[in-house]
Amino acid sequence: MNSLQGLLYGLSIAATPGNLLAAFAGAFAGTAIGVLPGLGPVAGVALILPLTFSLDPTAGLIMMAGIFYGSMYGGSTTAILLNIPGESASVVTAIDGYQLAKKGRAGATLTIVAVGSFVGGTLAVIGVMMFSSLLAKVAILFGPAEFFALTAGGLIVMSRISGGTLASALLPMTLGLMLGTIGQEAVTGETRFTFGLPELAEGVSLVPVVVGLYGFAELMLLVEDRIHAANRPESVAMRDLLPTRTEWKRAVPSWLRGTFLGFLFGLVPGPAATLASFASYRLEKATSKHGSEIGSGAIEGVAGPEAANNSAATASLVPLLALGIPFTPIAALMISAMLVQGIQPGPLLITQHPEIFWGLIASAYIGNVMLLALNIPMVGVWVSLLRIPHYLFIPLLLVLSVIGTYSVRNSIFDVWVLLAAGVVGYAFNKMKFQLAPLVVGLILGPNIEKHFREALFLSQGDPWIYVESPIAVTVWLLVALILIAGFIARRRAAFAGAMAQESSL
Amino acid sequence: MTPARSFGLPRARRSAGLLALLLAGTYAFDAWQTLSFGRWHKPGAAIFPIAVAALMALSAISVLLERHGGAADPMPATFTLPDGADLRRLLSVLAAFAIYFVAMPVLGNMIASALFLLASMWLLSDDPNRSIVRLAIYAVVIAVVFEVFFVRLLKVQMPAGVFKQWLF
Repeated sequence: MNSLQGLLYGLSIAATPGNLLAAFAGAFAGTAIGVLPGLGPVAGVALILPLTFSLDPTAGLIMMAGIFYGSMYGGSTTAILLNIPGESASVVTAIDGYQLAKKGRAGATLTIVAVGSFVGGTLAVIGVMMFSSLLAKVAILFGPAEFFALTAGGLIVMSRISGGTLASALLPMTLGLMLGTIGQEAVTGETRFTFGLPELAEGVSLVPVVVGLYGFAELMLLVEDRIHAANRPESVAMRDLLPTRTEWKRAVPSWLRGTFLGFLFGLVPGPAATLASFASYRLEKATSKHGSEIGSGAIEGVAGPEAANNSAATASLVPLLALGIPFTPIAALMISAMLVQGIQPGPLLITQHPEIFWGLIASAYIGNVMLLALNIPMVGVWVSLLRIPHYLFIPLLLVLSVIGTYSVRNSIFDVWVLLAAGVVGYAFNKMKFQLAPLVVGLILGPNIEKHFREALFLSQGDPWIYVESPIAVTVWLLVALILIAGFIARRRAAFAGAMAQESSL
Repeated sequence: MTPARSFGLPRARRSAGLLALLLAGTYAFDAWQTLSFGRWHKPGAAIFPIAVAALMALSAISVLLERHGGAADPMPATFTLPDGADLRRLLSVLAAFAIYFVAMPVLGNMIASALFLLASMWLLSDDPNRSIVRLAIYAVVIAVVFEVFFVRLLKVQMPAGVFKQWLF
């Protein structure tokens, strides 16, 4: 099946009434999450995640993707109207977006952002189709040694690129690996570290850990830092939503530049959407005719970064779908959704579950159209969500997290795990440890062990099997290259910082 | 102004490092005692946990040996935790959340959710003139909507509790 045939097949799946409803519900809930004050998209997606399990796998994943894109769209609304970025990728949007809102162009800016996000997301889907099917062709050559290189290499890369110091990522990652060893192991079925608790025999469920670390911990921070007097945004009238001809003209080149840049960032490991939005902002400052206005309310300052962050978010589906490696927290959440549904993401996904792969890709097109239709005419509704008091939505989301967590295995024990993970997440947030490596360790750990041991079984104990095949060697070389490039970049940044400090003295 | 207490971040991280080192030791000991090592051609269930324990010990030591302070340190020197009324509110919400799990199998999801919603809304509301009746109406409406949507419509299995025969 080539990309075009795949897309047509995907459209036939995504356009069924059930899947369309799932895409709509996801886009709607995602936008609401993105808009809700203080609740980031990762926390919001984590809280909604278990609810997707009651649907069939394709519809569940389509809904997840809708939540993901929707929260990216919605995150910009608070950035523009209140100067409160809904998520880290919208920080840049707040700079010029809020200035434009103060100039009375809030409605037009919201339209430029929504259309820019649509352009970035839609064009990036084309790239995802091409790259993923290319990678899938290599997939049939994968054996335990290649999978081991991919998963272990991915984990090593993740420990160095997730931000913060090495120790801040390594410690939570190892904790994730440890949690992954609890319960019955996959190769011989031996039970480990259960301490006589029958609930642990099946292992630590991913869902309570993810919901606790991201959702519950975030809600605890909200309880702690209540916004005592939340700003009330001005309402936006329908007639103000239409940008002027000049604004459209100025936005188009920025959208295209942002989309291209964002796609490249999405393919490499790291917090792609955030990095892409910052890089796009700098690119606009350097290349746009109105570069000097950026920072004081220029349309390019929101158009480029918004297209870039949505393009990067979409492109990050390539490593997620084709390699099964989550490089961002949201990607980790999507992988957990797949695993709970019994689907193993990775190189074999496209051949084993074409309906899911192509259905998800096609739903991204449909989801982007829905988001455009949802965001522009309904901006007034989203703005009114900002007025919901914390004392109403925090308890509501806590109950939602319990229902979602309990429903996965009908286990109260899992709800206690949710509480424990929430407390750990809160403490890790305070102590500046990274959360994403813990989840990635928990997801990849059992796979790493399985492939490691299976490879030794196959080779009758010959450890050279790990570096015998060209694919495994290529993966390890790529890992080394990423680590070396990261090391050089950090050294150069440190050197530049030291020079700047010296010259200021 | 929200009351908060400052704590030294390096000290807190070193405490976390010590805890991690202790965890690594306990985990390795348990793996060593209870799991099989196997052979090179047939590696046992202990191999991976022992490697993970070694990695945990290494990461714990790297946290313990971190150098803090100076312009190059990307981390702040302190972090804050709530104090006074804010701390009481946070702990009260956590306690209410824990009681909610304990009560759920007995009272059932809908009643336990309504009670938890009421308690947490009361604790989180800033308004000194908040009305318990209004909050109770919100709590009951949300709990019933969740019950209808998730349990009845989406067929999510939740504890029904001892009042099962009187509800719906």
